[in-house]
Amino acid sequence: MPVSDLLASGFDVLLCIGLLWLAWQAITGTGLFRSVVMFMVFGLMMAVTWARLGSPDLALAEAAIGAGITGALLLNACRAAVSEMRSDEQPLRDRPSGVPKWLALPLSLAAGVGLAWLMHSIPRDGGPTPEAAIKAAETHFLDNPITSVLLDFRAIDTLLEMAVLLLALVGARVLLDQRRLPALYPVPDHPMPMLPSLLAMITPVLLLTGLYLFWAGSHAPGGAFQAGALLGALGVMYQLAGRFTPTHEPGTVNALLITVGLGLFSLFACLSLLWAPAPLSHPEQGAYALVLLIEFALMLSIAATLVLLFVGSRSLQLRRSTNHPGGRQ
Amino acid sequence: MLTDWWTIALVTVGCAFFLAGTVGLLRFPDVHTRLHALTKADNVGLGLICLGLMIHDGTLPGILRLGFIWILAIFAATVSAFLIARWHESAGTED
Repeated sequence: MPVSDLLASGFDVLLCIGLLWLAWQAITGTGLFRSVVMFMVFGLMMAVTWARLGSPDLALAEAAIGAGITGALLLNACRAAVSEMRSDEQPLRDRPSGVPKWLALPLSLAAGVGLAWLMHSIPRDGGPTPEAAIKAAETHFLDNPITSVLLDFRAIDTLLEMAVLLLALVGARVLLDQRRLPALYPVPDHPMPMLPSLLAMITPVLLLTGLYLFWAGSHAPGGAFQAGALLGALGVMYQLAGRFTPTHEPGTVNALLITVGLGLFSLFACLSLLWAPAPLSHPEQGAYALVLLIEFALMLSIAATLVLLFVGSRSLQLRRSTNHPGGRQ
Repeated sequence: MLTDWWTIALVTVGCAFFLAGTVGLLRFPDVHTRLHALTKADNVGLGLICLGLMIHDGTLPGILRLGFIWILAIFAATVSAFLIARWHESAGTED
């Protein structure tokens, strides 16, 4: 075996051990914060693993959504839980929840066994589907096979994913209203020095990268989910730097941004019945422009939903920059 | 090939900086010295690794991209180190 192969296998073995160790640390860690950080590092290692397995699309999505945005959401929840524990209210974990904790083990085992059984029932060579998919992808009007699967072959999955995302936001809103959690991350009165310069530098870079990923999605690794996650990360940074003010009246622009992806996609599903027997079929003419339009709407909705999930408020408003020169918090 | 040796040398020295930074992060006594170890060593280490890979790549787009990665990492590391140090000051705890 050549030395380079040996090195590569050694790296893969290290990656596997590291993943298992990080997962174990994230579950059994002593503190909430520690567990969240371990989970984020796990996400990054997972992204490296996907890249090693030759799936740059998944690697991008895992790094942006799995490690980045989910990590930020978990840190937010961790902070809310800690401040709730410190307040006079009864701590979160002592409340009777009605569901015993030990149920988690048999439930996740059952889910795992069920999934494994489902996977086992798929024929070893995948049946006729892979061949048909590869053949169809070769002549497809989208050059990226991943995007043609997401927006054509299995467009119904993407449509339902968008519905899940919207439901998640609605569910989070309902829970926040019921529990009256403390305001997460109050807007700082005085902007911290250095943060504005970082924002000024990172805004064009993230915008460019996000729009590039959206554009590249039709012929190279990228797409609406990765681009939306990047733009969502930009929104999270704006919120943390106090450029966004959370508001409790849902604004029209916010509502539009959240629903435009699912709305446009559903509209397309209905309209496509005009020219095809099945919903979500692409027309002969102008399919490429249609895909770009839908992808753009999906990207906007994903970004807006992720930011609003992070902020935990009904909507956001860009506030005029109030610079207090030399102001310290 | 001479360029290959340059690449190997630069990447190895870069990795040594990463190792030193990690040891510093684990062994130094308080937040400020740990940050010092982390940011300084990681920035130089990443810079050297990027430089080595630039020599290995040799094409203009590749060189520009690697340089861009390094600059972005420096920006992020600077601000995050500043924020951690500031949080440490405001928390006022000895760690």
